[in-house]
Amino acid sequence: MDTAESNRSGTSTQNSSAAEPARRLAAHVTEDSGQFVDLCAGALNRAGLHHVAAYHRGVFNYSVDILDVLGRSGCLPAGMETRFCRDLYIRVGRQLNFLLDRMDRALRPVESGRLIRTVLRLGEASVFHYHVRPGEYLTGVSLGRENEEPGDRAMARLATRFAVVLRQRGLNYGGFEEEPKPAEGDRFMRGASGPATKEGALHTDRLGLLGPEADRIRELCVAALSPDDLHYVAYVDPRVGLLSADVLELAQLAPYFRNITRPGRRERYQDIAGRLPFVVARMNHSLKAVLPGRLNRTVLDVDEGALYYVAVGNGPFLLGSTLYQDRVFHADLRMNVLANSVQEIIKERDWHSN
Amino acid sequence: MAAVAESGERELGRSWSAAVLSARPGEGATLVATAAAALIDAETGPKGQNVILMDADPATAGLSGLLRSWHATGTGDEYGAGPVAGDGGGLVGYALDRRVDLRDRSVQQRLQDLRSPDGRVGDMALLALNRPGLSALEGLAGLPQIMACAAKRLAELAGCLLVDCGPGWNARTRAVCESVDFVFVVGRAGDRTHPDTLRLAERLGEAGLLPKTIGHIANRPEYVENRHGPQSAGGPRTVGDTLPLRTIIDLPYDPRAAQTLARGSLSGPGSAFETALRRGMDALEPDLFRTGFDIY
Repeated sequence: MDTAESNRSGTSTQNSSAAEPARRLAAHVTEDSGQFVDLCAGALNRAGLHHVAAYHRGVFNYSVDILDVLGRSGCLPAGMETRFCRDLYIRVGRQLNFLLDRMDRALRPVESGRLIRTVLRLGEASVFHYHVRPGEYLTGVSLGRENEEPGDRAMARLATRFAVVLRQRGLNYGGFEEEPKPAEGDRFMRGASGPATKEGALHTDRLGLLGPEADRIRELCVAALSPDDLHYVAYVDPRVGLLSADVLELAQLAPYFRNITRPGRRERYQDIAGRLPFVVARMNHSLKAVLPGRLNRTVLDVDEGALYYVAVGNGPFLLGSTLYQDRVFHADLRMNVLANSVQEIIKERDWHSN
Repeated sequence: MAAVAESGERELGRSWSAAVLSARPGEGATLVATAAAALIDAETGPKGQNVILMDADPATAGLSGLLRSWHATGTGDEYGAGPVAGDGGGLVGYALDRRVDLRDRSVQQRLQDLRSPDGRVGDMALLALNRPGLSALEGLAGLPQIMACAAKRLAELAGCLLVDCGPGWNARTRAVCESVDFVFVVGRAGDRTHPDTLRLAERLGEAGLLPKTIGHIANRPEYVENRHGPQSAGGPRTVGDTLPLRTIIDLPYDPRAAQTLARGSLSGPGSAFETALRRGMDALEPDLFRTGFDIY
């Protein structure tokens, strides 16, 4: 009977030292993966990425981590054994792949390409999911808010190095590699018409019965929009309503509307907003045992741009989007600033209502 | 499942898994499992819920047969990875994939995505038992553990899992029932006192599974006059009722519902069968239909 639990540990998980990451290899993994396992091990850093696992078609292949080192210095979640954390991170990777596969399908009608990178922040920890090639993906974990960005960048470099070894082009995950702006002549589609300024392109929608704070939130959303990066923002209170603001009508965004209309894209964003609370709840439930805190930030990085989910209270959230892949990081920063401002309004509202 | 409903609001996003079995063939376990999954998917699928059906009855592969007319839209491939090579899809492929340890084996790639032609059901997936490879499972050592492992993994992946165990009691059924959250027994109305039903309840009791056995779903595959009126789902046990399984949902005779499901879709809100099943499930577990998103 093949219920064997014969996973190999290239370097014993019990004896890993600060310099030697713990490695866990599934029994079916051959030495041909050795170079990739080493690449993963090289990406680990106490001040960045702490756990990386590789999967193919949902099958766990191998993982490397420095959880023992973190455990010894008391950096793991309280009361957590290293082995338990490792097992759960691997399990979460499998589940994440399933959920994100479904999310990827939901995102397809937006015509922005595949989901190539996902970042989930739970309390003080972050989980990363990186698409390497069809069927193959990496997951990573960084513990500590301060380690999120370095961990994310390490994952991006790692996935790009995988691509280089496979003699493929990297996908500019996270837009961390800023590319030169297109030449003026390439920026506009020939014959494309439409407003050239944020004010001229501004479009807003409102749905449901939002409270009096909605007007202030709308102003903040409009202020956060930028023709250079953040192109769409919605404030969503799942039980009450939604308001959105965007600059999708900009002439410079015409190349992104060859296969989808602007109203169509707005509709798809609303559809995704409808899916997010449940997906977030599923992830919360799965991850709570090992990563304390609730899921409060998600970045869904697609071939062309990204979508951002940021919780701004117990239920309400912001959904943002950029269409520019090389501005994913900048739009993310803008979303975080917006989220902080909206959170203040929500807190104020809740304080008054209590 | 009154225990669940009575315990207050279940945490949103917590997965839910159930095995559906019957004492004898032809009682409607497959139909009930399919209809329940399709109803949940129709309401919650577009809001991100994932409903998975698993065929765990190698003797008849009844669920796979019933769903043959549904539109299969893929094989659970991720990010356009394409179909699984080699040992095929479904539970057979999963069971026979000896290249990978059971603990690391992927069930996701073996799934088949299903949708109804009217688009009402569009996010459901099936771990099928495909006829051509079925004989390979006969005598396969460790099959109960393999099936239990598949059910566990599916429950881990999906928000909602329904496993059709088919009729009777065996090591496979027991292993699957042990790996899910809840067990339902489907039988003909009035069959709670039938010796086969009592024997099944006894087996469930011996296996320590009665606490998670929610009860008896009374089905009417043929027209039988219902002299006693419908029993309330999840309602109190009749005084003096000492039977181990109480009726939790009473389904009406509705041959059109079964025919429509076999053709690949739900009957629609006018169906007496679907209405009763939806109402009964909602009474037992309202959170099954809760997505946390009300504005659309």
